Amino acid sequence: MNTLELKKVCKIYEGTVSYQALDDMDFTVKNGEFVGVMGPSGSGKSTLLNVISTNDFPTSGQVFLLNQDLHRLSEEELAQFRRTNLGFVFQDFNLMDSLTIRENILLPLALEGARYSTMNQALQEIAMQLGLTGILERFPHEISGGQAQRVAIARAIIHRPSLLLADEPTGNLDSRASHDVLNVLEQMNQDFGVTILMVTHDPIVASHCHRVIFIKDGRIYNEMYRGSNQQAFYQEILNVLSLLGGARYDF
Amino acid sequence: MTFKQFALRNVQRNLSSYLAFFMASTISVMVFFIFSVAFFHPGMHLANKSIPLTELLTDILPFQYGCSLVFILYSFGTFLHRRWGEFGLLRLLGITDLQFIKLMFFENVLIGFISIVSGILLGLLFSKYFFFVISMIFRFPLEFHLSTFPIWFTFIAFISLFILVSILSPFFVRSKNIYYLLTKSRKQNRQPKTSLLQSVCGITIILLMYGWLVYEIQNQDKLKKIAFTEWLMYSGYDIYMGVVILILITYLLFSQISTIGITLLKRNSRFYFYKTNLLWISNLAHQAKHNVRNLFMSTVLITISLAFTANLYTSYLYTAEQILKEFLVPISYLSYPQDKQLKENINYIDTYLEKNGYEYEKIQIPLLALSNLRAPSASNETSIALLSNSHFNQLARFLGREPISLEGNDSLELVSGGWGVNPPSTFQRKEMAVGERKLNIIGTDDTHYVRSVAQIYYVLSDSLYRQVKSSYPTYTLVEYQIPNWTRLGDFSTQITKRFNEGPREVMTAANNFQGELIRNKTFFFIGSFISIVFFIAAISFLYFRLFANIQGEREKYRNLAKIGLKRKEIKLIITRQLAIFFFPPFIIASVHTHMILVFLNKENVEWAPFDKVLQVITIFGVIQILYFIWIRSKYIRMIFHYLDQGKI
Repeated sequence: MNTLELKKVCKIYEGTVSYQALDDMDFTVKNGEFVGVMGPSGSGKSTLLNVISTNDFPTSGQVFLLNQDLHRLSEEELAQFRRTNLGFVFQDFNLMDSLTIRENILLPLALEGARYSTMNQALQEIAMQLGLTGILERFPHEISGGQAQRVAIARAIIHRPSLLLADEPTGNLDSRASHDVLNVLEQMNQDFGVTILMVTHDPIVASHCHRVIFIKDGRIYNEMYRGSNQQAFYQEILNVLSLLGGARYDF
Repeated sequence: MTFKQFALRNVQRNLSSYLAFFMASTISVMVFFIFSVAFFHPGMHLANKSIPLTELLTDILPFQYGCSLVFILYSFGTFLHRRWGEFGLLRLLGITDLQFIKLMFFENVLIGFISIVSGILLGLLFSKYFFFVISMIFRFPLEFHLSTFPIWFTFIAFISLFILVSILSPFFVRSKNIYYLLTKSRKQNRQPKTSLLQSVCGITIILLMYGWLVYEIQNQDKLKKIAFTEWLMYSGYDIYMGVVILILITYLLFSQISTIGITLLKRNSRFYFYKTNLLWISNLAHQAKHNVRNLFMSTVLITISLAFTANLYTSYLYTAEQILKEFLVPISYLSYPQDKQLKENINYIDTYLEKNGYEYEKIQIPLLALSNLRAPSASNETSIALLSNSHFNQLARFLGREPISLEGNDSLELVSGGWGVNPPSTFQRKEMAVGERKLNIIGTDDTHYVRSVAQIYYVLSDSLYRQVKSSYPTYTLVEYQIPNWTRLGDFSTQITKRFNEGPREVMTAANNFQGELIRNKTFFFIGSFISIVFFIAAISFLYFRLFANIQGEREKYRNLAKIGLKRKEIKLIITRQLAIFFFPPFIIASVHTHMILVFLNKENVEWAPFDKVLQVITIFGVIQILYFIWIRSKYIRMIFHYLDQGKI
């Protein structure tokens, strides 16, 4: 079953100079998949993510999530849909400064008006899984970046969304913290069957995915499945990137 | 691009962020200008001399200037705070302190110039109405008259104010380092953890102080017995004391209630974690310190404007009662021993009153003067008079008070209230002898029975009075009670003029009534004008605070919208947060206003009736609600506009 399906999605930014960010984008993400999206700067990665996350509308084409045509929904319905079916992880964590870690994680459930006992149970479970039990009462500025991103992941999946969208989740982290966060994502994918769509710059990060989609100038350039060996997959990704050109990858 | 052009373009292209500061300045300029037009109006000096409008304006102009300075400095401060990121960037590019002052100078002079011009234009528009109302009050045709002097006066006063502000501006940002300016200090002030004990102490102090205030209002007689409080009450400092206590109460109230309230709200997890409650409560807790300061400031300012207007309003409404309280009776006639025309004059007054259909009552009582009552007194000797028990009872009944009965050498001492800053106790005597007989003073009463004849009266028993009667000169006091006395203005002037040349003294309340009424009307009008300016200042503080933080709030709501916060919920959160800033200060200020009015009129609480105070509160309340609606819609629009920018 497909979780996400894009059909001929185009996005044109009108202006003094109109600019086509997405050009006939067509792809699907199956239930339980862990998909990476790579591409050089300006290739349309962010636009793609915005369109999928319903924060932006395509100029033409359709986006189906759980067989629902997203861009037919009203603003209110969209917010509701986003809240129940999507989870977000951002590069800069986007945690609320005024909330403690516990409150940050519980926010989506609280907004839904869930029962307090249900909320607590879900929190216990997820905090244990992600190793956050010790920092629940702290504020975001009192924890490290890696911890903050794990909190963000906890917040993104506590309400069991159908699709987790991650936008450069390791972009602001050092290598150890990155590794940590990736492990958590993989674990969530394997143990809970969370479907993940992740945009990244980093070939190492991408090599953790089941499948990587390369885009360039708003089109799909290439698509690759991972075999059993992560190391080999990393090499293949590097090869494609060197062919893609347009950007140098320093790390 | 030269430096000047940079400054100019900076203002030009950031117009929206300068708007709040600009509006605040314009309002200040406008009010100042209207007052100065009135002050320099040539007709003002020709107007009735007894009307203290010019003196009033002489006091008000510097006061208003001072308030404008504080107001503009504050708005400038918040305005700069909002631009810290920009200053951080300029610092990073290597701007020197001198250049910074220059930049601020250009900007300020530019904005100052524009706001002075628009303030003066607005002032010209409104001063017509101002003069219309003034001339209605004075019944004196005051033509709208424009000379260039007030314009120059206002211009120079305010342009120097703006220059001063720009010179002070580097102090607002100097101490901060670049990183701090650029990141605007993401570190937050966490809500201070207060122990329950501390809060309980705080609340106890609040209750005790409020209790003391209420006690002082209700039991003045008891407090008069204590030397310290007596001094306070007669020196007029008790009102300052009351104000200090009210201010303390207000601060404690907000700081304690906010911490206790937030702790309690947070403790109730079921409520706290229910939908948007989590967001608005945590936000309140997060900025608790700022919030308390803001709520406190606006409460104090709103209280000032409410209490000021309400007090002037009620004292205007009760002008007649106040005058009558001071004079005790509408007409009193004190005849000196050598006055031969007593009968004739009293007859004249009676005839006039009867002819013109006034109802009246009168009494006539003799007073014995122990010392000369009415000669130009060179000595500082206390003037003392005697009256008999039965005459005193007549007088008491006439004034609607309790009669007494005295025997033998017993005597009641009447002290004519305090004189100036001296409380009555300074006039009190332990021992007093009349003739050869020592008086046995059984009590002292410091309420007025007779207005300004003597400082001390001794009420003697009838028998004692008969014995000493012949040894002292006898004055005769005739007093009238006339229900419709306020219309006796012309007659009063006539008889005072006619009689007071001889050995007698006539005092009439109506004589002062018209002047007093106009004075109170003027005070009420100008006072409410100033109050409204204060009120606008109070609510502008809220405005500045809200819009200084708007960028952060926009980002916050954008992030929340990304994870599925609905527009409806954003509206709900904003409405709740704004309501907390708007209404509790107003409600508390209303309660304070009622307290202050009762306190000011503590001797005649019926002069501060709740319904009249409520009228004033309602008018201000309506302004507050309209302002709330406007700010709320503007704020929501600004947030939503930003959210919409993400999608095209």
